[in-house]
Amino acid sequence: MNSTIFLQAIVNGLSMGSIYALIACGLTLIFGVMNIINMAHGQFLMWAMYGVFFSHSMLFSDSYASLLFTVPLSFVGGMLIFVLFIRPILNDSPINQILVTLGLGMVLENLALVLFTSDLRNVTSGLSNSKIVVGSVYVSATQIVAFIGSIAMTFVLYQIVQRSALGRSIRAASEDPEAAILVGIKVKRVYLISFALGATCLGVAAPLLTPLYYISPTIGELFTLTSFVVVVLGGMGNFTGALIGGFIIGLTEAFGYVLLPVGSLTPVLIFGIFILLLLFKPEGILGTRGSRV
Amino acid sequence: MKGRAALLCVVVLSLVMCFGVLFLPTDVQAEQKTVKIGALLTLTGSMATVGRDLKDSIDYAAEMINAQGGIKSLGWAKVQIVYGDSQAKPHIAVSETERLISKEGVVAIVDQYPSATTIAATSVAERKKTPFVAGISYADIITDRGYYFTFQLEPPAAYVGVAKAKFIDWLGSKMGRKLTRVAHLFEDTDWGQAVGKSQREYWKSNGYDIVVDMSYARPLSDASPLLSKVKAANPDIVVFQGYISDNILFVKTGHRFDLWNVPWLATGTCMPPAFLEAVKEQGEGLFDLNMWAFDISKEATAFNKKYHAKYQKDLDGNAALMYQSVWVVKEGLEKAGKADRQALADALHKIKIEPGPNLILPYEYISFDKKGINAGGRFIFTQVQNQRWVTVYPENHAGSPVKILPEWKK
Repeated sequence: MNSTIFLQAIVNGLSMGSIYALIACGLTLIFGVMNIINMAHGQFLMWAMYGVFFSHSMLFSDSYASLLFTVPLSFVGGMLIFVLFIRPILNDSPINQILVTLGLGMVLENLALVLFTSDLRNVTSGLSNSKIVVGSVYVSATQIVAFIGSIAMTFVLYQIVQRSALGRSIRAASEDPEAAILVGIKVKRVYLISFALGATCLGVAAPLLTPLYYISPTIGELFTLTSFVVVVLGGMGNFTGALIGGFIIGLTEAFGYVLLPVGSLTPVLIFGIFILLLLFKPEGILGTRGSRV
Repeated sequence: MKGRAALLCVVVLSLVMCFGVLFLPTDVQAEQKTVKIGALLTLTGSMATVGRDLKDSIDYAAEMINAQGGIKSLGWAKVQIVYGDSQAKPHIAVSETERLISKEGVVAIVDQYPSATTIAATSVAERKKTPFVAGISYADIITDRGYYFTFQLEPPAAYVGVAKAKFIDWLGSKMGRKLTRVAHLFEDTDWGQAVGKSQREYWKSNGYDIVVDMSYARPLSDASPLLSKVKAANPDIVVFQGYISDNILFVKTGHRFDLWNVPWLATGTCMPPAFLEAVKEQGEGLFDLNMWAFDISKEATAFNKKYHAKYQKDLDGNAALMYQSVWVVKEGLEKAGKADRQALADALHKIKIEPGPNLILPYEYISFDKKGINAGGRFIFTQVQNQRWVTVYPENHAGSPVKILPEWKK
């Protein structure tokens, strides 16, 4: 492997890894705070991507401007879904919670199929054709924006949770909900905001992802699985872990196709790492047993 | 007395109605008859956009057959299409095939792709002794099992490598240089593997240098890793076989890597209208191995005009294959003379459809050998020019001259 291919793989891995990390941050926040495994996370992302498509075709000339639409939409959408579907199952068994979110994902996917049809949509940005070429290494402007945007959003989320009053409430509710109630924290409200924040991660990820990708009603499945691997790899409920997990998956994918003689083995490599970690460090890279946000 | 007269009237009227049917002209009676043909498509799931597109062409075929009166040898029976949805998943294809045969009572099934679902569905059809026309799929295993009830409309996978090599040589002659360094990307299910193998073997033994030879698991989440390897290998041409969503990623990412400085050749899955809508001007210059296009002949242009007027889109190569598949079943039924699955299969093994109104594809003929393969099938090559697929090769079918992009000359 020459240095160009090596450096190109690092660029590709970091760019895709940062997006995986941002998507996974939303998932890990929801799990960390209310212990719910949201199987509809990929479908939330798919809806946010359609939000980008429609706002881009109707309101904004550049797809990145869709952030102004998708961020508030995903926050409100997240709150609505929490109230309608998640709050009633907060105290149910984990298997029930998984089944409800799994069903919700199917409903969202089929609803998208009916409303938006199965046509594949494409969104371009003014930056789509801009790129930096260093030697023979290609870095597109959309990759740079995706990387910076994802890291910035993850950092903002981390700061909110670690330093703000809301973050303290979130952490308290995740550590011990009953004790949090005793000291006057409105735990259900904290859950509501946490869920909405988790969905907002997708409202940010969607405009960053769409110029690099295509949009279809079934796209969510791909990202649900990947974000689960990222979250478990980094440690359930841990932001820094999600970031590291995202980069590991992104880089494994990039180097897999470059190094392995058969490209189809790349998913084997990714899930191989995943299984090994589950066997030897089931709490994830940065997780400690029982760790939370 | 009045009551008796009324009763008599009712009895007489009933008798007239019952016996009257026997004296109606035969074509009026035939309107009551229908023969059901099953169509297994990907109407939902990851390939829904393709399945929905193909459904129109199947509906159109049934409409054309019925407009001509129906199937003559069955007393002008009308054709009715019953749809099954494979969702592009083999296990769903199995249950849908079972339903079409056992519950709906179809006399035959026509099917699209992916090959993985066709392979699963043909096993059920063989067990249930129901003719199954694989309209688009052509992974080797579909016909290698020697099923009596399976009929494949497209040429075998082995033909693809040969046809593409001829095209690459011809394209090189038009570009003024030999294209020998080939980058080869293929999805890793049955179809991609079968075509990949045939291409690799033929190219290697015919002096081509395969500079990248990579399979990938679909759907791709990122095409950058694959294409960075292609970029570093500095190929003369990129040849790929993937399904529509991966193809879109290849085109988008190919532009990001400045890889559009060489020609790109797809394998018959870029022609759906949804593909061009998604890639827009980025698809300009792309080649695709194809089976039909509106400009291969005057008849095709006239045919497409009518189709376009009805559906506001061109009939693409895959849609033409599905249209033809329904006509194959129709021709089989004409020969069989009865709507019986065994008789239909026997008839399909004997039919020979020659170029003419019953054969819209640019094939030499349609006739199935013992394995169910149609040896008369031929490929054409199309190119995106001004966001429309036009035929450029072979030259006897070409509707437009090939467009050599300025960046290819560098």
